[in-house]
Amino acid sequence: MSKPSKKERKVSLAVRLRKELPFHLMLLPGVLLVVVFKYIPMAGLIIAFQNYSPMNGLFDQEWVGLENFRYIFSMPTFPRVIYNTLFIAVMKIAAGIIVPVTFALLLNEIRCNTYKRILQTIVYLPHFISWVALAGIFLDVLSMDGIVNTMLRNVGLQPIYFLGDEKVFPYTMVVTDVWKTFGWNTIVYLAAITGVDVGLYEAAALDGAGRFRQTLHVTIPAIMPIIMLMSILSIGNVLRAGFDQIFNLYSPLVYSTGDIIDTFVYRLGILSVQFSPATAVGLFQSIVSFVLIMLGYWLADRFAGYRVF
Amino acid sequence: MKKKALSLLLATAMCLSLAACGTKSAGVSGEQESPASTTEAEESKVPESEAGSGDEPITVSVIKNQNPATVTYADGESETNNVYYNAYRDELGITLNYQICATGDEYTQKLTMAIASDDLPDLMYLPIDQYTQLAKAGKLWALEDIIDQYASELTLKNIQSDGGTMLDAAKVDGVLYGIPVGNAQRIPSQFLWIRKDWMDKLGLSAPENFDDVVEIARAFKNDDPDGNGADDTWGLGLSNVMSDVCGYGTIEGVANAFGGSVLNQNWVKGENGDLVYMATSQGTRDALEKLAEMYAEGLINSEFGVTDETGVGEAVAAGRCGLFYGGDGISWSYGRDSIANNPECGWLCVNAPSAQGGVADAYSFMEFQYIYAVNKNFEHPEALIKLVNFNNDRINSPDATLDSLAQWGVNPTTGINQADYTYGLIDPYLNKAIGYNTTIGQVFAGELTPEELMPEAYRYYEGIKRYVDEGWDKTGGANPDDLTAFQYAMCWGPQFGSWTRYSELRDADKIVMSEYYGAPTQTMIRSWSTLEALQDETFVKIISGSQPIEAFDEFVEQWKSQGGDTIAQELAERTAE
Amino acid sequence: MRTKGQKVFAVFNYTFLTVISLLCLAPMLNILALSFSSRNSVNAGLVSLVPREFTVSSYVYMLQKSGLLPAALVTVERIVIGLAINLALTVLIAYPLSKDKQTFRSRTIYVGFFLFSMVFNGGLIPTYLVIDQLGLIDRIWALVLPNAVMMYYVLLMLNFFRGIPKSIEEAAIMDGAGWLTTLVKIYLPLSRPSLAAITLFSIVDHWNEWFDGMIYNNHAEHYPLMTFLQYHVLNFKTSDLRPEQLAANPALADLEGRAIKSAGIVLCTLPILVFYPFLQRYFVTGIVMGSVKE
Repeated sequence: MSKPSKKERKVSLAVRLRKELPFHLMLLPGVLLVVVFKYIPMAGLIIAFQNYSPMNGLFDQEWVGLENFRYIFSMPTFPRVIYNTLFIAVMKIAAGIIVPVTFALLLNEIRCNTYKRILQTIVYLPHFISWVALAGIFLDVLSMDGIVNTMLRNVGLQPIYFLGDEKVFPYTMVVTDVWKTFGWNTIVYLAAITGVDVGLYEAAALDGAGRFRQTLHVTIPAIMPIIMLMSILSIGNVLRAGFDQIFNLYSPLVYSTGDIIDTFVYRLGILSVQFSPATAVGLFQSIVSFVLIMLGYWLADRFAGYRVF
Repeated sequence: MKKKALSLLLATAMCLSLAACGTKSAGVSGEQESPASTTEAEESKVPESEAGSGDEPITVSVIKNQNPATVTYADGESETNNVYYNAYRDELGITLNYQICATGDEYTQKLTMAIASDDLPDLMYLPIDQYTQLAKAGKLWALEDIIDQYASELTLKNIQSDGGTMLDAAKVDGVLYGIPVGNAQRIPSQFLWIRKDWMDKLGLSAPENFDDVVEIARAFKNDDPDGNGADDTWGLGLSNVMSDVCGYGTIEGVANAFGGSVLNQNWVKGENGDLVYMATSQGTRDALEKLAEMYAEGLINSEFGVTDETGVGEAVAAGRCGLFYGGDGISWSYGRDSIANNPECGWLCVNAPSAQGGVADAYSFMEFQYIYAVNKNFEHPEALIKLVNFNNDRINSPDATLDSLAQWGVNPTTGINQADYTYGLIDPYLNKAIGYNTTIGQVFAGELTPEELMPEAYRYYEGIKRYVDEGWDKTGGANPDDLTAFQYAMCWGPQFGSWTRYSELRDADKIVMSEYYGAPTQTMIRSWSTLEALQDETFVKIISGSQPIEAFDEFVEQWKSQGGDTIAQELAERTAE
Repeated sequence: MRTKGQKVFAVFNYTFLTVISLLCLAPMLNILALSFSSRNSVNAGLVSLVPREFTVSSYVYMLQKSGLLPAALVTVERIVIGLAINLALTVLIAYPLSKDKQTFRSRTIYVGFFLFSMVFNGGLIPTYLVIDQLGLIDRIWALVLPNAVMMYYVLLMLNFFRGIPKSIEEAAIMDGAGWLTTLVKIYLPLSRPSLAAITLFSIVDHWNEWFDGMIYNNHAEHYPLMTFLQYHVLNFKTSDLRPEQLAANPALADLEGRAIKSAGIVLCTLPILVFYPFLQRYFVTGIVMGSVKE
């Protein structure tokens, strides 16, 4: 193919532009809003490198380099906060895959379609309730006088201070999070299970495999790619342990095990008015998350052939 | 947060003058000193303009710390149509514009955002951290000269009712940028509350020393004081609050008994002049050792590590806990419930006895709640002082009558406290409460006639009198139909009330004041929450026996190395200034 | 045909799943029961899953005396405006991005642009400063504009569009239809499941969002429902009140009661829960087609 002449290229660019112009116009409103509400605020991240005093302009500040990062990493609480975040987030990710997959496999064995639908409707419900309302529910249900502890007492067990005992709190967070999300998360796995080639089951049945072995050797391998994919895509969440949930459920009693990066930033920035260190923590979190998410997308593309966009 | 109840109550419930309360305040007003160290800084120049004095109306944006949902208005009235709002507008020419109105964390959050966006209102009501930050950034008016020029006699008297210590403490780098609201002395929370009916039943008498307290705990735990045949009563009730002021189940009284203190504000001069954080002292160690012994014997509620002060309060209300150290306002909250639930119940309140016998030294500190300040960009800083003057004249004036109070304070027909509508109300309530307690005591001693009491104090007096007349002071109980009498009596009553105990402490000079007050230091901001958590954790573990008492020494080491030593140094430098 | 083992398993499975779903319901039923019970039986700890001393007084209180209804109006307002904006922008962004690189050259740049904005953010305070500068504080726009572009919706929509056979579109273009016409006349009618799913998500997100309502409003009367629930029902403590405030308005003491709080929770969640089963059929299809690609 001969190289197009300069003129030809110009023409084709013009043609292309005219052809693509509607696309650009369609994207324009969204782009503008994102620029205003996402990109312009990002300029504010520079206060992580300043000793920010709100009284002066954003650029009229004392620059301190990495001092704020040095400061937050020297804070005795910070390593604990990171640890809490990782601990809670990783447990949530693991439980958030195991429980829905198991539930989807079991649900798939239900033959009665009406009953199956009823079960689905019920387990999806919690997904629609906000953490504010759910926190209200759990604060009551899990309190010392709540229904759970009343039942524990009735069967002669020691009551558990689910939301006030620092040893129990992280697990309470994981369990309540699973409670809210597992039903919803089965949707994707159920669809994947439904999509498994019936012929594979028939072949396995001919080989004498029962339902259990069919599940083990046909269903699970068949949905493995989607399980892998969901795991990979959740890598980006290991530094986000759920602000809405924890903010609404925690208390100073459980800061030692329940304080996560997002709640820490909120208290540091909003309640203690330390803008620069708070922004530094946020920036640190964003950068790490960004790298992890990109890694996840790359892995997904590489191993599962899945392109997010 | 029951602990707040009483101080909040006093803050505005007593809409009366301190001047007429005699004794204490008279002494105070005598030692009024002119504000120290006038600065020649430019910012303290008083504006020449006289606008805002009534002829030239101004609109003033303000932030108010108040939950709008809890303020009630009479029919037709609102935030912008009520006695104060209208009077400020008509008489002072000041129209308020509420830029922010919220409470709690919500308030702090909105204030922070206003600071971050440099969108500060004209008049502000600031927590100490924000106040210091803004003052240092040059965002606030220096108020000393403005106060001198505009403050009324009564205002001066009120803001200096403690002899000017609060004002001095509110200075940033030697300059006063605001009018503080708070307590020159936080009432200690080491009172020992004992179920009197249980004591009588088991033939025990009031404790003389800490061993007696242990004796009572043992009897309450083992001898079935409520007589229901079940082993369901506690010995000494403890909460897991190990470093803060706590209304129910604090260990502060025990620490005091051995010469220590656990409160996180308490820094006291040691023998060699250094500042010592009392929770790391030998006295605190001895107290923990003793508590661990008691816990091992079963004399402390076994779940205290997961019980907050509400938990202890509920046990008090339910009649499971009859012995605990706590605050002054017990009769207003769960103590009252305990009688409602069980008419036999009666209470005795004593100052924490020391290990050697006699009353232990109590520890206290200066407590800043908020500070009123003026935006440097606002042209009429005197507006704040005018508002304060106006409120004082309506509410704290010696000339106040029942009629004027009905108009400006609690409206007797609707029951609405119109003082809620004020902006800039400075209430010297610590001294008022002391005054009430003292004068009511004098009436009972026959030194004053009831008619000489202030109207508000008279109301309390009536309740207390019913309590005494019906003989409840002998049993510590109350007429279940008249719990209000109990409420007033166990608080401000002579001989038996918690404020009488407080007076005894003061008269015997048994209150040690912390050298630290005001804004936190750099390292405190950075490390205090960790140090506090370390303290809470270690103390709970030592008491519950999961760590030996030697863990205390390790705690002290860690505490010092993780910032404690630096803070001590910072504080020493500050006090040296 | 079934073996004994399979039967045992089936029985176990039915029981187990039933128990699990009941566990999902139990806390909600408990709250519902509390909200319909008298204050005394609630405080005495007698209520489990069935109301005791049935009463609707908690609801009467919530509806009459608290600021719940005004807050609900704010929420409705933000849903109406927010949903329209979300839907329009989602479609307008997803459509061009669903084209391949040959058709739309600059696609990659736009993808990068949006992706970056999804992962990185300027943080609370800088965002607040922008919204403050625009004069949006205390206005409904602060609740709908910052999250006008939701990348999750865009992803769903984009993947759904890609699943629509290209030949349909090519035929339309041949007939001389422009991109916009194709989008409106051909793509949108085919995308009903995805649009339904996104509608549901947008409504639920706007209904449940509380943090922005607190941050971007200085006056409590502008709070949407969830912010109101959070700050004026669930976090409300009578011990923060002064005794004479209580004396003046004894109803405030009730606000602390578990029954009242439960009624608040029910009122603030029930509408959305009643609404969702009707859309269930659509959104399941929408989600599955939007996220699982063959």
